[in-house]
Amino acid sequence: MLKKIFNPLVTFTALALLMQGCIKDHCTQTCSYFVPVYKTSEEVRANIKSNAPREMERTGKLYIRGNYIFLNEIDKGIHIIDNSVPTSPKNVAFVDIPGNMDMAVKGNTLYADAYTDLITLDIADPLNAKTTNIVENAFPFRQYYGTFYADTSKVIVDWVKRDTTVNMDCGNSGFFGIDFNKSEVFMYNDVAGLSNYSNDGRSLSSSKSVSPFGAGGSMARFAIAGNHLYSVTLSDLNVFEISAPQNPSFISKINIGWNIETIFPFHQKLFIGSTTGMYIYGISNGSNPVKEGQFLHVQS
Amino acid sequence: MRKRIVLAAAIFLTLGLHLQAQQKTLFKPVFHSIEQIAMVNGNNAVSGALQTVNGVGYGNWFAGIGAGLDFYRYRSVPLFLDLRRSFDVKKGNKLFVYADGGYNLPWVKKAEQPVTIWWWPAEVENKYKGGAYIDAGFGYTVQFKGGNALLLSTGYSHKYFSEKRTTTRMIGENDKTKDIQKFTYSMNRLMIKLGWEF
Repeated sequence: MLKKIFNPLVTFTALALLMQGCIKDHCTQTCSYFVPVYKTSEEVRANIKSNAPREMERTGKLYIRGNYIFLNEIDKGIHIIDNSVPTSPKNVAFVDIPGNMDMAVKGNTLYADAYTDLITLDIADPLNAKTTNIVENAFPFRQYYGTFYADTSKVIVDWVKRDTTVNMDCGNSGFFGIDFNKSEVFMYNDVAGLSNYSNDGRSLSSSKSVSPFGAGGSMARFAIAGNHLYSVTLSDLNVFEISAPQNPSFISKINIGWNIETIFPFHQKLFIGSTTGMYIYGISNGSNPVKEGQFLHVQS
Repeated sequence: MRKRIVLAAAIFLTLGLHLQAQQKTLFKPVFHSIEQIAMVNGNNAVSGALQTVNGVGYGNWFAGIGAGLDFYRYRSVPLFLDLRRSFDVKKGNKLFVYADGGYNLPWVKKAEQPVTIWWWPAEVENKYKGGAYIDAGFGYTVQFKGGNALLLSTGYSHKYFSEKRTTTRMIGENDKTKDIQKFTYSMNRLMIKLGWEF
């Protein structure tokens, strides 16, 4: 009886082991990554003017002045929209400002950030907007999320998405799919991921380059009160003198706190919001904001 | 010419009916259930599987539907059709060949939250999609009394599934990034099965 079962069992096991070399698992990983498109500073600055209109893709803030709407295209520039017929607005021009996220308007002057620089544009004729002044390194605090280091001698004007498929280890090779030391495996994968994908990870940079899609970028916010332009970064309040609108000058930087989100001017006060509360600064002397109060709340 | 065709058709029809009648007298469809346990050998991985196949035997043929639990690398539930043909050898024992084909449903164990070096926590969403399941091989049947039998078989087996992994990370206080990665798992193994048929 045993022989009856034993012989075929041995035969089949032997056959199976002989065929072992013919088998192979095949696992793949497909992911997207972004490659920066660089231009020189000269090329970028020469192009900060009204150009042909563009399709809207990732819009940000907007500003209304007269019959025109200025609409931010995150990290790329500003759409100029003719709103003289509100039921039928027309996209008439686009100002290329790589790294732009915020703007403010006073009269015929538009202020916009371009990564770390403050750009001043004459918009008396929005269809013919042109750069009148650039304050360099006005917003030095920009972040990258990844082990990505930009070429700081150039400016990133776009990101090109690429897909790639690579072979990978199929994992879970332990008996019954149980892998031991799993945390070590994940740790290794994470570190590998960091070095592979430019849109991940974190580093600080003061370059003129932009953070990639979805990255936090600058936390700067703009506000104009009287002859001053105020902007907040993640931690500071920057003050610019704009009594000569086309020629702003940096006056001072005041440390406020952490996680600053927004700024709003109202009746000689600046209300500065953070994730944990509100700071109130008096601007009776616009060049020298003074902290007058604060209240805190749970983290928003 | 027409007469010849009609005559030939009549002869074939008569023979066919005669053979059918003969077969009916020889074989009857019989329900069988096969329960199997398998050792699954792959490329640098070994695991196990359980299967149940239930169907109808007719002469030397058997057709049934099967389901299983496959633990190779990633747990899955294969659902398949099973077709097998046996050949008499000696003392009622048989050699057989079989082929299974169907769908492999992934039933992956929930992954551990990745240990990350990010400052902010990540949310990981895994969506799995099944794929082909194929198993084909040959075996030997040791017959026992009452129609019971012990089955030993070996064969090549393939299972496939894919995964879409979306990782959402907080960037700063308010922004999020989404990384979408797609994975395919194509696994080719040898299965050595031990089963009991009744």
